Amino acid sequence: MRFGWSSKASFQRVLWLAVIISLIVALVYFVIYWYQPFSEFWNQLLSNLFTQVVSLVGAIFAVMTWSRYDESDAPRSVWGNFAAGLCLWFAGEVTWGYINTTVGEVPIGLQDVFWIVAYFFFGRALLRQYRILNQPSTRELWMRILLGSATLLVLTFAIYWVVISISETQDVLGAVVNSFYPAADLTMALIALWLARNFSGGAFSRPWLGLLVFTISDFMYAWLEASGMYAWSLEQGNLLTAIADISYLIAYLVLALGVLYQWLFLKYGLRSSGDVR
Amino acid sequence: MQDFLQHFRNTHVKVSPGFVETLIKTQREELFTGVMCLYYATGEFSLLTFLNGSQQKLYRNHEKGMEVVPQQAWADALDRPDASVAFIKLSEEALRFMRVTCEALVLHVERAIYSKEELLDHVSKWAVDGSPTILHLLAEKIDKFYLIDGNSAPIIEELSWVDDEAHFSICDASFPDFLLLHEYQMIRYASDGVQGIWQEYELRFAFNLLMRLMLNRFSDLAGRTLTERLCEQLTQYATDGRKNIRITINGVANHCYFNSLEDEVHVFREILHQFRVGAGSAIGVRLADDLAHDTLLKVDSHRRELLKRHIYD
Repeated sequence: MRFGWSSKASFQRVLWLAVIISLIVALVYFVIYWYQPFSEFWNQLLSNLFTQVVSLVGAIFAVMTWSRYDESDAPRSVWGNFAAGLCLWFAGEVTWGYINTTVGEVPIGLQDVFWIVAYFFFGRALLRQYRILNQPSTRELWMRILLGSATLLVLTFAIYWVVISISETQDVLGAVVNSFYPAADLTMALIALWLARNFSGGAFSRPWLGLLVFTISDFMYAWLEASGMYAWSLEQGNLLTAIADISYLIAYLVLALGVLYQWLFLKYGLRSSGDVR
Repeated sequence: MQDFLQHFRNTHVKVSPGFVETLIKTQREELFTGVMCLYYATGEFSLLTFLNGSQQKLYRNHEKGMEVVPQQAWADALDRPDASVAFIKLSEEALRFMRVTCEALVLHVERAIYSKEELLDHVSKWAVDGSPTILHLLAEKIDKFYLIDGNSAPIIEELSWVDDEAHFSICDASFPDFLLLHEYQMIRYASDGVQGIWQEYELRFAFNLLMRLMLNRFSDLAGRTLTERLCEQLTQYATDGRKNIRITINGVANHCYFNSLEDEVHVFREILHQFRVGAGSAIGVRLADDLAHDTLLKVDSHRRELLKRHIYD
């Protein structure tokens, strides 16, 4: 932006603009979701569209952040993987939204492939960031990878066992997939919390805080889905689904803002106060 | 350190104290950087150093070497008749070099004539023997001085005199390999590394190493662009404080003259504080502190002790 503003002013103004737009988006989404002002088709389409657009914006911000780094910069590989993960999440949201709008109930399918593969890329991003921060030996690195993988497997199994105990579903694949999501979210949340704590007080903590918020919200959503409580709540017109869905969108907004903050810092940060952009 | 005196050519002979004062005022107005030498008929001489027109130190020779005259005694020290005055213009680094030669305590003097190969062998030993050395090499049309810290510093500072002009440069312990002539008259002034002037000299290299390692690590965490901007900020900070220090991603180019070890420590501490603030805005203050701490551990033990003693106390 070239308005003769200082770098600091540009940074603050863009960020505030993004926060205001996010608040407006969240409010409009809430109104559409809660008050259902349009026909059922349009309410559903708009609700899905909001989530897809916000996830797309987050993915775009992540790609922009990745492109800000030089090829030789270590953080570039973190952001390459992070951006790939967000792009796959967007693909998953679009696929899910399309099926939900056209068919209704969304079975285990292509959208889950996108989402599960996305977790692989997020895992790589977190691992790469860990390597940059701690500079572990090869042995230490493999120990961490094994620990993370074991945590994920144990959590997935534990949640699956609980889900199978609670519900009487015959859909084993569905149960496994739906157990994987909260387990993966919890694992990612723990790592994101560790990263946010390491970068605490600095600009670099923002994306990881954003990821932490999103994984917590997604964990709640995935847990409700896996346990069958989401479907029950939806039937009852219960507040629980509303909270889950609205917080899902808000979590995407927080994540996008976190990524935007990183991009803004790379563009405007550490410039002299008199630097006009 | 009377070895430099041969390069001073008297421009004013037997002048009055009033005229000396006028000459000093002129150098102030012309923002002169260099040395004003005042000779007296008794054989005594004084050296008054200037940095951008500002008087820095007054040295006076005596039997055992040079002494620093306290500022309150300058008026009396300069109030002597029939002084012959000479000026040498110096760069800031050359002035800094001369300060070391004037203030270093000389424990003993060795004189010898060495071939290039013998010199290489001796310099390699002096570079690691734990005691600093001021080395003076003379040959036909060659007049060079070297400061060797004795603690494996990668850099040796050199001052060459060519046509009565001083040229500052840097080299390493292999410099005898690049000398042109086969034989040199050598005067070695062995000194005491505990002295403040040598602590200041060594601290400069230790700080350069520390900053380079810290910036490299910051670059790992934050990327090249942010690191370059941080370097610009730090350089701007030093420049605003009128210190001739340039910080880049490759390290510190320190052309700055300091009047004392305390002045140098103060500036280095401020630069480190600014680094902490700048880096902290990106990676968080806690990580910035960890980065500084971990980097300090990577420095060799001698320089680490030096940094801990003066900067991190």
